[in-house]
Amino acid sequence: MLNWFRRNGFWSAVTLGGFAIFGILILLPVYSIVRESFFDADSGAFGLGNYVTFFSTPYYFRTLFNSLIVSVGGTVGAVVLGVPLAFFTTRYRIRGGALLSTLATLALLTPPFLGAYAWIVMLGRNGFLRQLLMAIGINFPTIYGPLGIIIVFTLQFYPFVYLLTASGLQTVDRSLEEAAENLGARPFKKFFRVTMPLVIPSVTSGALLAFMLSLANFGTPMIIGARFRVLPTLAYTMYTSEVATRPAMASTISIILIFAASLAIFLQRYTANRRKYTSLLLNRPVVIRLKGMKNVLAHLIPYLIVGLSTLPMVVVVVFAFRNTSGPVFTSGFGLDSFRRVIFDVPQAITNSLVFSVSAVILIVVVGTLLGFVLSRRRSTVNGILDTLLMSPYILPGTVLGIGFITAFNRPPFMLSGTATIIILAYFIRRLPYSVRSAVSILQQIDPALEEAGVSLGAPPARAFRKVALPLMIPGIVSGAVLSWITTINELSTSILLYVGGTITMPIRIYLSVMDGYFGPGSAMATILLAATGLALLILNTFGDSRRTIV
Amino acid sequence: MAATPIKIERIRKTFPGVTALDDVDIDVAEGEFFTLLGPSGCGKTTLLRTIAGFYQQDSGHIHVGDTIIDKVPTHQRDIGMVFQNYAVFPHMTVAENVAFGLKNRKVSAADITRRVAKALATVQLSGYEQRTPDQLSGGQQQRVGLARAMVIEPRLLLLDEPLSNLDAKLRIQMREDILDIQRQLGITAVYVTHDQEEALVISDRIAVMNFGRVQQIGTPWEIYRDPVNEFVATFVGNMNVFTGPEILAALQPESRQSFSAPGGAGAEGYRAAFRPEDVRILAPGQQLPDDVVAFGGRVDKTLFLGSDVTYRVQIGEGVTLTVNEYVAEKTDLRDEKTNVVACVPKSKLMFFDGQTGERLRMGG
Repeated sequence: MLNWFRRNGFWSAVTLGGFAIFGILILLPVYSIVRESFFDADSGAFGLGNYVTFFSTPYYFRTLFNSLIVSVGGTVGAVVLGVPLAFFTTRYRIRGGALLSTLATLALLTPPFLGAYAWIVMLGRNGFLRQLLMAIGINFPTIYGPLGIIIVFTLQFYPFVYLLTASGLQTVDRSLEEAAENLGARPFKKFFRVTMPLVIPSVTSGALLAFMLSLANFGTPMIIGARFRVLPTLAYTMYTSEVATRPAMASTISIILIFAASLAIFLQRYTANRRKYTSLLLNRPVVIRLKGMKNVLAHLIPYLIVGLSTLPMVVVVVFAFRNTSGPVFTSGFGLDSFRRVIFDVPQAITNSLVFSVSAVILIVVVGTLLGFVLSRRRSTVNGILDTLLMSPYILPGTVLGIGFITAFNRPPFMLSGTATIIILAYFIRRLPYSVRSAVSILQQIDPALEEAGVSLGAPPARAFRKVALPLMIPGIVSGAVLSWITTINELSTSILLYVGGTITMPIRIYLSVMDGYFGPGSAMATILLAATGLALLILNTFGDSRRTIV
Repeated sequence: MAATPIKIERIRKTFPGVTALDDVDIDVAEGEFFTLLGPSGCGKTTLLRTIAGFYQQDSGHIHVGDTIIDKVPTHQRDIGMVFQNYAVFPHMTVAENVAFGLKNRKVSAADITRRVAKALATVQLSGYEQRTPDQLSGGQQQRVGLARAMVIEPRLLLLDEPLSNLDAKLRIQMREDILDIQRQLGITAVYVTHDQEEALVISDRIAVMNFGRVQQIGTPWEIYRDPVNEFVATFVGNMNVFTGPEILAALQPESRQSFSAPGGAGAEGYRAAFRPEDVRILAPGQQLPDDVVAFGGRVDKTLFLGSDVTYRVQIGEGVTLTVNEYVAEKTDLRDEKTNVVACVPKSKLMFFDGQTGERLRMGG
């Protein structure tokens, strides 16, 4: 072993470590789920019994349809909001455009379950908006059910479509549109025959991203779905329900979910790579300054869209400061809810910080090393590792949670109930993004720089430390901040893995909402929002946050 | 700075599917400016990177002075390198860039300051010590790359197309500067380029490469005036090349008797070639000089380049002869569509084997 290490060096050890991580944290949990899904839930017999049950029992089968309905709905909504927003902000001079972009990014980075929760505060059974409307005699329907889920998904995921489409629109060479005009196309025709086809790949890519995230989302349908079940919530219920736990069925649903997610990601990759128009971008598109009514309209639409997606955040913050008596809001404002959160359940906050920071350190170190190996030491073996390491993309959080419990509650990995299992779950969910980001950072650093270092007498390790690493730092920091935002907001996996002592902020919020304690829930959510906003601020000072996010 | 001879001995390097270097043998004398010239993919950069240690050869040896460096790790080879895209460290100042190699060699701080200042003076960048690379032009960045490579007083300086990213004017100025610096230091230099003019100007000797093989090694004069095969002849400089039947059909009646290919090769067995600047267009009514081969044709295009004139003369169906002439008087300029007689001295004719492209010599 020592000899092997000496012969093959440090970077081979990194490759080996990459395979070990894949084997233990991805393959083993997935294998456990697959195995379990083949043992009949009732008889324990080995076979396809669970799958037959799933597809022949309406109660199960319907959730697949439900999942598709809300995912398609959310995706359509995201496109309907995202594309016009992108068009208006890139083609017309919009005052406060940077603010709009920041707010949209913030909406994207806040966890969907917060949005769901805010909509309940507004339009739930006792929602203030609904009561307001009732007071003037309008019986507005509650937000619960598929429509609510679709609204939340729409407002949550439209920023993906917006950001990708906007960057697509910004790279359409002006000459192409001018050529269309020169050849006699009217503005309307020019847009639909030239501009739009050129950005279609970006739109499709964003839409499929929205679809995939909708499909895998757990928090929103759990909070706002009421009796409307989708695949992730069904799997969760099957696994945790006190009345009738059916872990084998939960595993079967997980496998079906993986298949659906794989299909979506396959389509996403396919459209992202196919029909990618490269542009020399000699002539950047012009930004038009509108006048009069047109200008008002051009401002109204983007502000309305972003305003709507910012509304839930505002509601959460406002309600955090309202006075409460038990689950009921009373008149006046104060810090009561914050006091209760901080003094009654400080553990959730400290846990969240400790877990997310530990996970981010792991993510950054391992992700950077693996990214370096994959981009600078190309080989068949590393190519395989590259593909394998991307697999968490297709594992919805709920599935990974179930896999982790199934795999790590017996020796040699007796981890259930520990902080380690949550940190590892955070780590593996975020690792692919971190590796990708390290690879793309390295692609922008000329390998000749390291070679220059080596030719000037620096041993390879010193050349990496002195030359490549300092150049990677800004990219690594933005990657780390982004990882931190996603891990501290993580709910779908940790809710399956936590025990009393390892509760985190998102779980605490979820429980408060479920118990109807909106005050402390809002206060906790506000703390989470503040942390996210602060992180985003740090991210923005490092330049192009857009590219890093999408 | 000790000038060191180097010897490349039967170096072979293959990449999956390609033989990049096919038993390459080259000797470079101490203090020599040696250029590897060839089209992209000919193996010149692979050879340079193998000498530097970025690639490991499959077989063969590299001698630097008396030592074989095959097994010496890249960072211990003590070979300076200048990169095509400068590779100036963007996060360091000019002074830090130049000092980088000295720090790796644990040179004392005082010596570093002194040597960095001297190196920057050599490349005419004194006063730029605290600038960062983004404040420098491409030419200045390449000077930093040059200073950085030579300040470590390497046994050998490698330059990988250092001028190809600069604009034309700067390229001409920089190549003379590089030559001045190399002569001043007396260092052995191996230079890679695909620009044949650059190679001719700057080199003591040139190795022309193609398909991983050395085609010819020689002084610029030998490479240009006495190429060993058709590839070298056409890659370096411009060349009129005609098949046997083409040239026979275009000959003036006076030349038919005296024209012959070497070794009695049949018309299908050779190609004849000569340089455009060796061709003269006769003035109307001018007597044919001795020992020339003459062609009759019609001026198709007259291209005025300022210092000289290029004519494209059609000497047969789809056969065009290029002529380069210095024209001092406007009256000597030939108009398009006029019939002319063009002649080339027999001594300037070259013949290449129709199959292999190898040079066929008279009496051979």
